[in-house]
Amino acid sequence: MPDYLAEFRCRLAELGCPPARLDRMAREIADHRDDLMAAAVREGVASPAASAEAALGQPGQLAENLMVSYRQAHWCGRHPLMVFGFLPLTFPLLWLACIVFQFLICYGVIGGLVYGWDAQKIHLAGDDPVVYHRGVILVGVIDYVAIALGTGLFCWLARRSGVGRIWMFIACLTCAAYGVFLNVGVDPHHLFVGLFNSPQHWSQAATPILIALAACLYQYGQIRAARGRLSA
Amino acid sequence: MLTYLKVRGMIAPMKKTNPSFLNGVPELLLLQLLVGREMYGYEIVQEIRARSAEVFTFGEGCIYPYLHHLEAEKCVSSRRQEVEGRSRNYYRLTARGGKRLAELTTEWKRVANGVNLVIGESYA
Repeated sequence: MPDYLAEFRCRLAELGCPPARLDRMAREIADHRDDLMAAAVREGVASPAASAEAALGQPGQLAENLMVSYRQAHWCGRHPLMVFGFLPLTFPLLWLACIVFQFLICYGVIGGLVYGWDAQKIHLAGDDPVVYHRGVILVGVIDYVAIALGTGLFCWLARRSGVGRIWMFIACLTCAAYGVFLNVGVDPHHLFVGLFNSPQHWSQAATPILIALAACLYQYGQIRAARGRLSA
Repeated sequence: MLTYLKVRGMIAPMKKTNPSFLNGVPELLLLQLLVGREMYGYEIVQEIRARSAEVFTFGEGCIYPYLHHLEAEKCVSSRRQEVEGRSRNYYRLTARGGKRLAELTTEWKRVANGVNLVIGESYA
């Protein structure tokens, strides 16, 4: 007979329950089961464990009820269509905010530490091919980081509210679609940001998909660990 | 299919239409029990059973979705405490929970009064 608590944990993991919450729910149910077993022993019940588990109900059903309650406790869980269906449509704004934030930090750090806020030195650096080449690489990194941060936000919200992988993938696919067109580039003395397509954008589009897959793999690892306990 | 989607989180379960008194009963009972003292899940179930003369017998596991819901709404708070070598999760009423309890109690009395009037008329 499978272990009641292991089955409960396994079902919670399958439903996408965040690890900290899963531990808390499992502790609480284990605690309740111990109390029920102690009461059954006092009453002289032949099989206290079976009696306690029957009183608690099916572990899968109990996990599902708790997850419904957990999702309802989060705004994102109550309105998944809004958060993971429509909100990603505003991804370009989020991406732009990340770009501007990172650019200001880089400008502050490089302009301050390397050039000591000397406007003439900064201007001349723009004509230096080596500096320009490094700038192109840096802006490319900033672009990827902005896409990854925006996508990561939706993955985090999906994980935190326990809405499941499907909603997370929907949000990530929207981010990936935008990744094809969103672009930031640099010319000497110019930084440009816009929406246009070029072949190398497919790697940017793949970033949200890779992040979603990584999040799924992480969750799958937790499910496997829970199943391992179940079969042990 | 709908149940499957609900479990997978694809659709929200039917929204509770509080202050419908039937939906609010477990909430009312839980909040009332937590007035003035902290309690843990098992203790709450036993207390409800005892104080209602077994009229209300919550499924043992059913109490936690309600408690977690109330906690998310900041009507109750929880803390872990070591008791006799075991770590228990104790729930206590918050100020917001007190206000909610007052609202639910008023609503319940109003509805119960109305039901009593109708029953009284029928049996008169």
